[in-house]
Amino acid sequence: MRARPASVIFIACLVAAMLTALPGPTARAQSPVPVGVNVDVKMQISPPYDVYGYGYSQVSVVITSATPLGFNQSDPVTLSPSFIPTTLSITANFVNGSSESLPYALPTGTFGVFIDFVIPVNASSFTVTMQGTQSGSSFLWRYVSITPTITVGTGLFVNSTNAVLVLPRSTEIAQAYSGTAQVPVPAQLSPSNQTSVTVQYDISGFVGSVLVMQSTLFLPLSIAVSTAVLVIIVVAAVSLSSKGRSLTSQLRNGLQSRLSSLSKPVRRFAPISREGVRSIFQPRKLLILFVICSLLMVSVAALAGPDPRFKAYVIADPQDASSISKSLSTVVGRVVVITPAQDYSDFGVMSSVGEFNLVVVSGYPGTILPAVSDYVLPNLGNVPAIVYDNSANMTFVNQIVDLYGSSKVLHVADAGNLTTGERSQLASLLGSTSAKRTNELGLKISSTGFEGLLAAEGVLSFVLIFLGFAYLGSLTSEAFAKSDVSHLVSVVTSGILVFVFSEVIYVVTSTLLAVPLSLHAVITGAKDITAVGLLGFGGGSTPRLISGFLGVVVGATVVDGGVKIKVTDASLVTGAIVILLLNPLSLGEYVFQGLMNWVGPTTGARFSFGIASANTASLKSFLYGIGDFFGGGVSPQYLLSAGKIFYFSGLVPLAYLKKMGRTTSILALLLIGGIMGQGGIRVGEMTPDKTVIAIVPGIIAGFAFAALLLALALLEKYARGSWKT
Amino acid sequence: MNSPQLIRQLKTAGIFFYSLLVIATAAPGGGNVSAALVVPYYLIVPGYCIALLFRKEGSISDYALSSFAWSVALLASVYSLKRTFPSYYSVPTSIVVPILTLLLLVYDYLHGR
Repeated sequence: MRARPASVIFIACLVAAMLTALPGPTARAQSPVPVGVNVDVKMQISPPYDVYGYGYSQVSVVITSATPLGFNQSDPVTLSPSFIPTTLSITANFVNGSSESLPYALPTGTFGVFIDFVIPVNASSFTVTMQGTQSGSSFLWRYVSITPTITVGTGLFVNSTNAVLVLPRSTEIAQAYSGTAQVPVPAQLSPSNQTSVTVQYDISGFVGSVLVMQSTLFLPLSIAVSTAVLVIIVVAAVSLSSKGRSLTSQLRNGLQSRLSSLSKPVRRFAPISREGVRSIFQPRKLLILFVICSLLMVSVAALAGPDPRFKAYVIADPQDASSISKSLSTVVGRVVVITPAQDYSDFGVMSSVGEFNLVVVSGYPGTILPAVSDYVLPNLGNVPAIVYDNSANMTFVNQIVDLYGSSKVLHVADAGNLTTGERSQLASLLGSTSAKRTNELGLKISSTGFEGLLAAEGVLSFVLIFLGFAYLGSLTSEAFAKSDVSHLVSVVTSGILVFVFSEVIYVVTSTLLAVPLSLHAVITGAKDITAVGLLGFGGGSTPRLISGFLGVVVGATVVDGGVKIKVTDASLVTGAIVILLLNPLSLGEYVFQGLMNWVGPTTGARFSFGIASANTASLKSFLYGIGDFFGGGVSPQYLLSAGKIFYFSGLVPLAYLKKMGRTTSILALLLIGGIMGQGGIRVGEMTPDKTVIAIVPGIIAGFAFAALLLALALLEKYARGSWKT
Repeated sequence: MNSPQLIRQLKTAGIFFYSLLVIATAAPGGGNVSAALVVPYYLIVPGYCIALLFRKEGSISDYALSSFAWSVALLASVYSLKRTFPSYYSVPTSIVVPILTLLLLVYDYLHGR
């Protein structure tokens, strides 16, 4: 019995020894478990500050395994960046000191890619390096961008994230919002490092956030302008009372007489008097000028076009583009090369107007090729000749040959270094097709002369919009000469005519020139792709918006019998709008969020942030809902353009403008100008199918907007005590 | 009572009872009401009440065209709003539209125009 405790202890020790001999937590070395990774992100932006445009940022990411590996079996893992990388490399380091570049697969997502790769047996660590660009939007002199995210999937988890943002010193971060909760991020961003030209922020805690950037001049200027406008509003408000009115009229008369004496010498040399201007701004004359402008555009295009320069769309690594350009120039002379880095989402329109004589397919980053292919492949039928070389993705080449046959496709060994035989083959291919277009009238023009006329066409494209929209605005003068319904029909049909006719002129002119006058989603400042780009306007969205807005407002107010504007009312309404747009406080931020979410430019997923996002998302959804009511969602081909719906919706309230009260009509005119100007941007999109589809939903949505404005006008009548009159 | 007043009262009463009839189609068994009776209501009556609100005079053709346009706009707006705010999706259009119509009618009647 005494030996019993000893035997128990012995057995317990034996069991303990057996248990400690079993494999424990070190099992990770035998079977794969999730691997921690450290993510380092660097984002560099030079924000363009535009009223309405696009920009992009450079992103570079390094991902390294955080802990030593050492698997005895391979481990499949997945990464997903929020941007499409243009360069990507994955390197594994092994226990024996060697390293190896790993293969990877790239299933594409809607706004990014998945990177699938396998960590090999006996790898001790791995490194993923990628670079790419992330698009952003420039709107009302601010720039909005999302900070890039790296999502890890199967087999990985994020151990730490280190992210930095590099901006010019003249830029500051004004607002930051959580990407998921759509609420302001509470922490303030302060610079972590500065040089003479750049400032660096640590944004590790802001991954996936929406950042709003602005010039360092924005705040002092907005305070100055807001203060000045507040003074004007106070003066206008004082003039609402009878005593104040006499005081302000004395002030105004004094100012007018001084200004009049100052401007007298200038007016003497003015080419046209005020009465002369007013006589031009009559509906019939504006319509004639609109038609003359369109004929001028087409005539100049017929004389100048097609573009004498040989243009090639080169789908190749950007660093190989110059050697390919040189190589092609030995066959066709001077070559203008356009690459997907400049634009690929508008390839359909660019190729439809005959911009490209040739498409070259060479080695191109596999990460971004699927996105480019989505836009390019369906439209290669518009291009007379296609060349590919040995470094091209063969799946992509096979798709091209399957779709378009081999008769216009030429294979060369290296597009950047054509052999003598390949040059003659290419010359033969280009000679056998319509790759070299000639002027139908037999005229020849130099490249410099063509660029000059192209710039003139760019200017005329804005004049056309201004005249067409001014004609629509001037129709307000006819409101009381017709019945309500007749006037409504007149404005709506004229509005359809102006938009469709303008778009047709844009298409015809672009086709004759073989250069698009404008495009929808070109980066602000891009110069080589469009006619308006020569003027430094990229796709031309902002000047087209301004032309449309000014056209409606000037046309409605300058025409005899148009909208009468009293200085007091105009000061109050425009002052309030300016303060809302430029307000440096929370109110201004809210208005900016709302407008950005609602009508702001976007190149992919629309930015949706801040407390205004829910309301504005609903407003946009309301427009699409009207389109859906008329069958807009039945198929992907039945494309609804919210912008074009927006334009047509402005026509109905425009027809009722003269029925509104003094103050409401000014507010309504500015809103209508904004709505139609914003929608008018889409004239440059040159997609007539979307225009036709948008007409009916747009007009119906216009009735809904008109009802709200007319209800506001009734309230104004109440307030002014003129209900019974 | 002079003739225009009588006509106005008859018109108001007609729209009132027509609206009640359309509302009744949302009640159990209301589906038996013929579509031929309900469809003209949706195409004309709500828009007519909106037209009454925003205009004082006009020819019959003016009223007919604007009534049709406002009616379609109202129907499309109600459809779109229900789609935008799914929590209200179950509220039947046959209740929303006639009630809006009745509100506009009462407003117009009280202002004696």
